[in-house]
Amino acid sequence: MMWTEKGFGLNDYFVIAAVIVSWIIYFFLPKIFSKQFTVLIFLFTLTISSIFDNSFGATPIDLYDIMDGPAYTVMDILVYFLYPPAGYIFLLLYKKLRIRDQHLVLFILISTAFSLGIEWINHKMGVFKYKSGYNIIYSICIYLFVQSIFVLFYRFLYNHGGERIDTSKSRD
Amino acid sequence: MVITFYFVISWLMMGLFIFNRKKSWGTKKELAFLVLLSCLINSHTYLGLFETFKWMKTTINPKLYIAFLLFRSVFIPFFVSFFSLLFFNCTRSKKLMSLLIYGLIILVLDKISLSFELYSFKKWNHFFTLVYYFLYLYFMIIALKWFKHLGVKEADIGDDVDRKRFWSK
Repeated sequence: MMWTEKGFGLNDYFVIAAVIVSWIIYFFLPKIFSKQFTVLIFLFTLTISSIFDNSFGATPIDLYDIMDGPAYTVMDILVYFLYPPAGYIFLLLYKKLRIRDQHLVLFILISTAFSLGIEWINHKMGVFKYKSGYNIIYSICIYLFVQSIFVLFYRFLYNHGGERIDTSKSRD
Repeated sequence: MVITFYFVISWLMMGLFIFNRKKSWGTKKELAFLVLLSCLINSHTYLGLFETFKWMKTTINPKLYIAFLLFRSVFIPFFVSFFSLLFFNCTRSKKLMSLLIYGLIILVLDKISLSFELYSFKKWNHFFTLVYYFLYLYFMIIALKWFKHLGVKEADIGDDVDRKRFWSK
């Protein structure tokens, strides 16, 4: 596996710097979630981004490339290290700000706008390269969908975190 | 036909995994951990390993690709998670049987996927598929052990999903 497709450029240095900065921010954040749940937050962000990238970013759909081109490189993998701290910050704010149900839509809209801004910077820096008529505006749908299920995922585990699945009980 | 087949087996596998009424196999956090991790591994393996090293070639037909996505990102994660839990919870004598069934299902599905032309082998064969899936299962079981251990350690300090004491300040 190659490190990069076209040698080290601005996008590679940008990703390395962004990964370092985002993980430094994470280490200074209060650790309000248990280790198990923190692992699940990281896994959720990594898995969702991987599903989208390896489905919509791959042939035959092929809507975008990460870094220099379609080849799978080490720098492509490094981009995934940007997602876990972002997911952690999202849930931290959700919890810290005590977002009520009536404010949840607004919270997700603001978060989507912020995510779109981050994606735009990444696009300008050459981390994401859109193809096949894809436009950054389409990402709004993805962010709204992903952040909504992220909140549902959190609520699902928050309400039933310690329980064991035993559907036979529900028949009682 | 192809999409329907993979949709049905994916739906069936999700149902078996989520609504397993036989016994309590794990907490919801453990189930979520297994599905997320297995999905993460499998989606990267097909593109990052098999395609990059040209061991396999995935279809470029959009219809077949949808079926392939169902197989790779829905069926297999739930299937491997199910067998990880089964292997983790069953007795030693049943472990061998579950491994045999696991290998057999993988082999049959590999043959079906090839016949539907979801992917084609370049420098690959059924034996390698079996080796990959057994290593994958082994890794999942080790990961589950670690995750359970993480939960036990936290239970000792009275922790659950989140550390409420931070919020009581």
